[in-house]
Amino acid sequence: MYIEKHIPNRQKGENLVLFLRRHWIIIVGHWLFYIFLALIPLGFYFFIEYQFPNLLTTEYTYAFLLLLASIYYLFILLFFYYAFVDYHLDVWIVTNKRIINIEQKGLFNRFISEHELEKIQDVTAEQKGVLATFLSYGNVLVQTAGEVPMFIFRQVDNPFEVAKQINHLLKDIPPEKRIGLKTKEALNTKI
Amino acid sequence: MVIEISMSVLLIAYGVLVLAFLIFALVNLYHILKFGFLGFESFFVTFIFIAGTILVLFITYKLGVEIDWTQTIAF
Repeated sequence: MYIEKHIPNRQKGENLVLFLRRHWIIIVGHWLFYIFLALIPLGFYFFIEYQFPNLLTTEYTYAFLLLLASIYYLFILLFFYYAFVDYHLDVWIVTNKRIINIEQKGLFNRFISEHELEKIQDVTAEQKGVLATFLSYGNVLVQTAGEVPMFIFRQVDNPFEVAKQINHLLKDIPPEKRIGLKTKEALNTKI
Repeated sequence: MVIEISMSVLLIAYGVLVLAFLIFALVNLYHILKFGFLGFESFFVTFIFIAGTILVLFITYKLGVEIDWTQTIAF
C-alpha cells in the first residue's frame, strides 16, 4: 500500500492501523467560501454595467478592471489550492507501534511528532456542535508521557471509533511496558 | 501640468503580481509533491488548480489582446 510504504521512519514489523485527515466538510467549507468570493466580481460587473455603463466603454478603465479581475481570480485559485495543501498535509497516523502527528502550519512550518504506544496515558474523544454531531466528526485527544504531552487529532471522522481502535491497540501492550494508562470517552454535544 | 502615463504600466504591475502568484503556486506544488501522500484527490485538485490558472490567463490574454496598450492616460 502506498501510504504504508511512506510512513516516516518506518520500523521493522510496523503496520498501518489508521491514516487520518480532517473530515472532508472542513475543506469543502473553505472551498465554498472561495467560490462565494469568486462570485463577487460578477456581481460587481453587473452593478457597473447597469449603474455606470460609461465606465466600461473607456479603454483604460476596461483594461484596469480586466487586469484587476484576472489577478483577483488567480489569487482566489491560489488560496483555494493552499487550503487543500494545508488540509492534505495534516495527517495523523496510528500504527501497531506508534502514533505520528504531522501538521503543516503555514507554507514554511512543518511539525512532526511521534510517540510509541507504550507512552500513551489517556485517550479521549469529543464531538462538539450541530454539524459535528450529524456528520460524526470531532477531536481525539491523546495524552502521552513525552515531550509533547498531548496529541490532538483534529476534526477527524468517527472520533469515538478512532479512540476505540487506539485503546484496542493499547490492550495488546504488556502491563509492565505501559507508562500509566487510563481511558475515558467524553461526549460533549451542544445543540 | 498634465502627466501622461502609458497603459503598459498596468501590464508591468500585472506581470509582477503574476510572478508573485507563480512563486507561491510553485511552493504549494513543491509541498504537495514532497510531503503529500499522493493519490487521486491530490492529483485531481492539482489538475483543477493548474487548469483554472491556464484558463484565467488565457481569458485575460484573449480580452487583453484587443486593447491598445500603447495608449497614454492623462492626469
